[in-house]
Amino acid sequence: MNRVGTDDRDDEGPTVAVIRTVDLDLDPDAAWHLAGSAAGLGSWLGADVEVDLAPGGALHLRDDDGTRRTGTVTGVDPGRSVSFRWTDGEVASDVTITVDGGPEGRSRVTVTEVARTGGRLMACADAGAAWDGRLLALELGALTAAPAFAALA
Amino acid sequence: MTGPSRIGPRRPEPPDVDVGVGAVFAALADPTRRAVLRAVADGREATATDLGTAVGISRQAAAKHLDVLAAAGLVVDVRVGRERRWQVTPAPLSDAAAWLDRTGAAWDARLARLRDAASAPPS
Repeated sequence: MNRVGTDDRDDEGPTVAVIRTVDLDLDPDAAWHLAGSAAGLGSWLGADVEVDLAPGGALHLRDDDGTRRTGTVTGVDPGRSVSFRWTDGEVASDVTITVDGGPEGRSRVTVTEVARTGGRLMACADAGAAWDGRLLALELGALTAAPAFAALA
Repeated sequence: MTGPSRIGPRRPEPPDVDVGVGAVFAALADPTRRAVLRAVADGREATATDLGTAVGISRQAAAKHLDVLAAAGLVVDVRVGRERRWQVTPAPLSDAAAWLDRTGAAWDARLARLRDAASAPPS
């Protein structure tokens, strides 16, 4: 499930994020241990995950396709959220992982990734405030069908 | 020589121009600005006045949106006589769309692992 909204930050205006959620059959404490702790992140975020889970701490991992990512932890709210900035060597972006309690003792994990704009940080402080890029992707698909983009085909 | 002269494409270079997918997303997050970009893509070198009419905004508002789109590398203006006519530069848009697809797919895979880990029996 995706949330949609806008994120107006000072003079930087709204931005677009990739937002994904998953509901877990775990209470929030257990969900945090799995999704947001240093040991837990190693089980799902990627391969060879090394993270110093404190502001300014280093992050290293490898994606499924072998891409190496490096980054820095930018914030930790124990039991609630962890944020970091990473790059695959081409695009730098900001990621926030948030754990919320749900009904019947379950939990929801939300991840938000926002591409950085040049030297200016465009992170999401609130995962619900960024605009889900899935809707933009639909528009981009329609937009690139316009004649002006035919040269790309 | 008579007739309109074409100086050629000119990309504005403000001192803090942003490039990359982040700048593209920032430019496209505004729905009116997306409408302006669509109008540029649908036409052939339109002026800010033409685009404002197409979108239902003033020429000045269209010009401001065009400046943001240009700073993100999405459009470029071409001088035709005394007019500035706008055209799309497609590559940044395609790069941004590819990033959305790639990033979304990567998170789908990661969260699938998280879900599996959550469902695994305790060791």
